[in-house]
Amino acid sequence: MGKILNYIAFFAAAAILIVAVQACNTGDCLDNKSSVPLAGFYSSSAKSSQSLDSLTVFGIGAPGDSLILDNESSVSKVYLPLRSSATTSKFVLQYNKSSFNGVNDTLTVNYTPYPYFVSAECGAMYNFDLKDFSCTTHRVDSVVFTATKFTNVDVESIKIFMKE
Amino acid sequence: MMRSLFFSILSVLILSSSAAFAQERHISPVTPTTNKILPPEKKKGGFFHSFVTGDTVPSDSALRADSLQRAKRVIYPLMSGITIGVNVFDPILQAFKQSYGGVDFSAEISLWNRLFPTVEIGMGRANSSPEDMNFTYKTSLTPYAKIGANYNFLYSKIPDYKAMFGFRLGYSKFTYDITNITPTAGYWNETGTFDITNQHSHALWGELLFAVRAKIIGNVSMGWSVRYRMMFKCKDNYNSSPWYIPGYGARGSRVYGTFSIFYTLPLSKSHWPKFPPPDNSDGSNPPLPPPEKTAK
Repeated sequence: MGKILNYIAFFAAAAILIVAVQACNTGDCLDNKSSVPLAGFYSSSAKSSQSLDSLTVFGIGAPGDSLILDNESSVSKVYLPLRSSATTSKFVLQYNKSSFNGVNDTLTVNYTPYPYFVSAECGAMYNFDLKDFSCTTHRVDSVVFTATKFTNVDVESIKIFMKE
Repeated sequence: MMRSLFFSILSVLILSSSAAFAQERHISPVTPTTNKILPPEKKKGGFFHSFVTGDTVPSDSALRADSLQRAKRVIYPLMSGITIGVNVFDPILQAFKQSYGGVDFSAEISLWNRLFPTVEIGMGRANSSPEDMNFTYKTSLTPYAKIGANYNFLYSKIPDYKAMFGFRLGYSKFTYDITNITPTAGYWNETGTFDITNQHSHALWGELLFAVRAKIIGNVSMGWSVRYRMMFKCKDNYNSSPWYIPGYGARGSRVYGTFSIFYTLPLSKSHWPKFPPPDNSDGSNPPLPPPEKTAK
């Protein structure tokens, strides 16, 4: 009887081990499931984060003229998804505030897309190697890219400095 | 006058005869220490042992020290056994729909029933298409190897039961493919499928483990272990990071387990310490008796 109890305890411990291992090995994706550059707006004079009002952002050639932002207020950051089937993406920053009515800026990014498998949790996606970029300067003072590779890591990689 | 002289002569005769009788008496030779009350034998370190343990009864500490010395004398031969095993933990998990894993075999030598140098060789594979994900990950059957050792804390007991700490160093060189990748259409509504194939990598990792083992029948035993893994080196590729590593498992998981069946071939059994047959009538383990035979 005692021996049987020992065996039961032994196999119970093994069963607990199986359940514990299974529980420990299930994880979630801690970053994004696609590689989308994140841009932040900054004041060129104060060099600090700035929120823009009445801002519309869209990509040139987007299907159905879909918008990324539609006349949003208090915008300090925006995701700018790159085209994986092309090596250039263009984004329009449209300022709808009355004092800037009709003024747009266009950010052009040239890059090389490549497929990348990150993990079972995050999956596979396209990453992008930055080649060069340009931007009009109606309201934008300057643009700084803080990374040369865009991955699914959720960090800001583009700083857009705005004129006062 | 004559009467007093007679008594004097008689007294001298009596005294001289008694002296002569006393000289003729037999006396058994004895050592000078016979019948002495000897004090308890002082043991080395007795005071120190009492001081360290806080034991205020010297006789108890002396008895304990004596039993410890006897326990220390339970020494198994240098080569006391060879054990082979098969780890069936992954096949069990695969029965529960784990999409990767393999099977590995182990071989170990028992040194004094205390130290167990171990080699583990196995084959691992993966074929995973996770739900709600956009890929199929495949690693064909790939070999791996681990070397290391276990330390048995129950080295002075019968070898039917073991509780061990150990370590392993593992290595695997493998190839993998990720196919049927369908990225999310996203803002640009781009659809399509692509593959990332023929990815080569290798990995070196370490494992710390705690293991328990118990005899089932004859020379067959079963045991499980819990392992904490540390990746030392894993080669990433330009298009991918390996997810499944043969012998390691899923790259993101640090804790793992094994459940194994072992067969032990005893060596130099005639030099093993002798233990009485276990009395399991009350379900308890047999007490540790004094060893009758020890290795040279």
